[in-house]
Amino acid sequence: NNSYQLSSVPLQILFYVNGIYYIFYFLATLAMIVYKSEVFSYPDDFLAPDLALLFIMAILEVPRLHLGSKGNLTEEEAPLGLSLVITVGSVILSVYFLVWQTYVLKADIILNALLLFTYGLESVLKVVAIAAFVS
Amino acid sequence: MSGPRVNSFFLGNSSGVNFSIILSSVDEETGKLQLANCSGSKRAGDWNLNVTPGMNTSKVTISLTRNLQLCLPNATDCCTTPLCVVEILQVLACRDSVILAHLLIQAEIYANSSFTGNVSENATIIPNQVFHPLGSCPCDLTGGACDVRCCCDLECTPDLKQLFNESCFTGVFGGDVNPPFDQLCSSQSMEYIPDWFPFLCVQSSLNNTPFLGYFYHGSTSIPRVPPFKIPLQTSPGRLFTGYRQGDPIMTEENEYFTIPQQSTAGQCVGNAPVAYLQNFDVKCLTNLASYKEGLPRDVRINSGTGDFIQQNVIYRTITDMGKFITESESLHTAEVLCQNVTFAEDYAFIWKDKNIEQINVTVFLGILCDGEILAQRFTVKFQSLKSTNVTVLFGNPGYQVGKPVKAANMNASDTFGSLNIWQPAGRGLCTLATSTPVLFGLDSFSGCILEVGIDEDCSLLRGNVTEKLNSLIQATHVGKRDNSSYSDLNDWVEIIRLDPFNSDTNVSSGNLKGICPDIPANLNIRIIFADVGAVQGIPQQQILAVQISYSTVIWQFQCGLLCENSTSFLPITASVQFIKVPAQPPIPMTRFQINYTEFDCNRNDVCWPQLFYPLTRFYTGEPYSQCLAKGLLLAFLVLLAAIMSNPWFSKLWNSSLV
Repeated sequence: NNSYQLSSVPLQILFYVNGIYYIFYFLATLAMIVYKSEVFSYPDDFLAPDLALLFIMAILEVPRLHLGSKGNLTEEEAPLGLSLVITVGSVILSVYFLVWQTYVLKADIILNALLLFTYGLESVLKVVAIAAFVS
Repeated sequence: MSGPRVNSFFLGNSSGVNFSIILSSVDEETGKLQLANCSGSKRAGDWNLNVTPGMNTSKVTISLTRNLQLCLPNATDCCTTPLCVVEILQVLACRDSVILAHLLIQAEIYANSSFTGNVSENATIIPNQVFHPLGSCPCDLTGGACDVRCCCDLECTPDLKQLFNESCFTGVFGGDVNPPFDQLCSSQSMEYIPDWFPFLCVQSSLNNTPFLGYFYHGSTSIPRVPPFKIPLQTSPGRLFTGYRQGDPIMTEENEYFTIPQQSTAGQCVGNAPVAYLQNFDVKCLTNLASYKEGLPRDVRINSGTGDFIQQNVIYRTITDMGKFITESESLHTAEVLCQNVTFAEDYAFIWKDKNIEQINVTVFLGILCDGEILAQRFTVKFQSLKSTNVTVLFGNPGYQVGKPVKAANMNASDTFGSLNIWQPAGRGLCTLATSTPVLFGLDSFSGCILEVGIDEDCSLLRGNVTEKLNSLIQATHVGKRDNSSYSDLNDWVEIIRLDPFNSDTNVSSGNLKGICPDIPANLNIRIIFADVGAVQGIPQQQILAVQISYSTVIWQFQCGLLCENSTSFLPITASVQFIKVPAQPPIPMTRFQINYTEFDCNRNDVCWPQLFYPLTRFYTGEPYSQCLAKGLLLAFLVLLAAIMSNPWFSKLWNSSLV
């Protein structure tokens, strides 16, 4: 990295792409849950957790991206660290949608795998950026 | 051997033989069994040895003498574990320290599983039937013990399961209550795989199957008790504009003016309304018990203009009671209940245009006694002010339903003809029957009964029947319209007669008595009519053709047991059938319907209901789910484009990433 610019460009690009991809992911998963609830029958009280977790994930994503982007551009490690913590929660939720959902379709697997891959890459870059900012 | 006792036999002479039982053990390392020597006794541990000596064989019984009940751990004198006894015994037969015979017993005895413990207070939670089967392991039949070959039984220990692992029950009985369904990604057995299947197949485990959930969620509806209420009589409401033909005559209280009439089923109806300009003449049977008075004589009738007119009633007494009364039972000449009743009523309605001017009623009274059947007679005649006897319909030359068909006999001098059908009376015999004119538009079927002796000559019978039926048809022509004049031949159609085939010789009856074939006993009158034009909005009907034909029957003398009857009955019938030609043409399409075809999906390649397919389900060429998905995607993309092209959104986007 350049000595007077510690912000990580790949991380910023990844945030941007993640934002767009997440919108697509949210709408696709919502549509698939709607599809599943029509075609299959959900056992009692299984639909509500699925939908609730999806919306919680969406709500978590916004501050996660915002904090991460802000921390990266202002070269502060606190927002970036907070973003990393929120990322852990997002990863758990993504794993829920990948494995523990009531009905997991193949499209679910593909979307969540991509999302997890993106999260993993982001986490690595965030750690590198934090290391760069701290030192 | 099952249970705590085992029998065996020692063959040979048992004198001087010592039997002993010894508990042995297996060497842990080598697994070898130590052979015992002759130093045992008849008891070893919990085991007892009993010998019953015999001649050449001795019965040897080894029995277990301990309690085999299952009980709590740390209790004494019962089994603490289900597998209660695992021991190896050796039974020896010795004579002088020489082993003669050697019996090895390996015992694995389980505790008796009769239930003596506490009943648990916890109720079994029954899972929701919709999503979990009630018996997840149907082969688990005994509680507290392992069911053999049931691999889903939780009470089976793994080493037990190993014994029957290869021969578990399969299918639902064996616990496989979630068979693989078609939407699974791993299912191979589908013939039809939808296009989207690689993406939307279900990858998750079989614990959540969608098919247990397909229960019918019917809604319950409360059965509606049918209201058995007689509806209130509603008034027509247009009384004051006058009566048209067929309108019911109304009284002052806005109710129907009723006179007993014959219903279409045949029996008399007590309160049937009277139709304007419709004459009738009915006979109703009644007796003293069921006699009911009609409407009171002072009821005023609506004249059609709004004011009410009084009935002019004249009372007369009947002199000739025989015409009305038939006695059904033999009377005691002693006290019989008799009553003054009406025997007949004659109504004459004098009308003009659409109003009733006058009502003249003649009531015939008489005495009816208990046990007699009275045939009441009610006649209604509508008389015009201008003419007194003939009822003329204003402005309606065509036939009206219920009017007699005009017939003429052009061969006779007075040209007056009649077309009749039977009107039976009394017992229905032809000798007593009269005839009644054929009424237009009313299909009818009537007949009478002819008495035939057993010796009747067949050709004579045929002639008799034909003559009787021909007496109904006293005409050669039938009028096309109701006002056909006798002088104009164009107003009449000739009756087409299909006479029965008369064979002069007795062809097949031969010497047979009591059976006659080909008796033309049924007369069929077919009248073909059609709608020709309309007068004052009322369609006019004309008769186009009349055909008379005969149907033949085989008459056979009906015998009792010994053919004692002297006469048998032959029913002679006449039927009238009105056939309308041509059939009604379809209602012509309006010009709007012909020109404006956009909503007509049959004549257009594209029509609006089919164009808006996912919203309106008229089109059937594409699966609904596919079209819905495409439509939603399209809508989503449009929405996305609209949102993203908004400058507000790009401002928000930039600010969120900075």
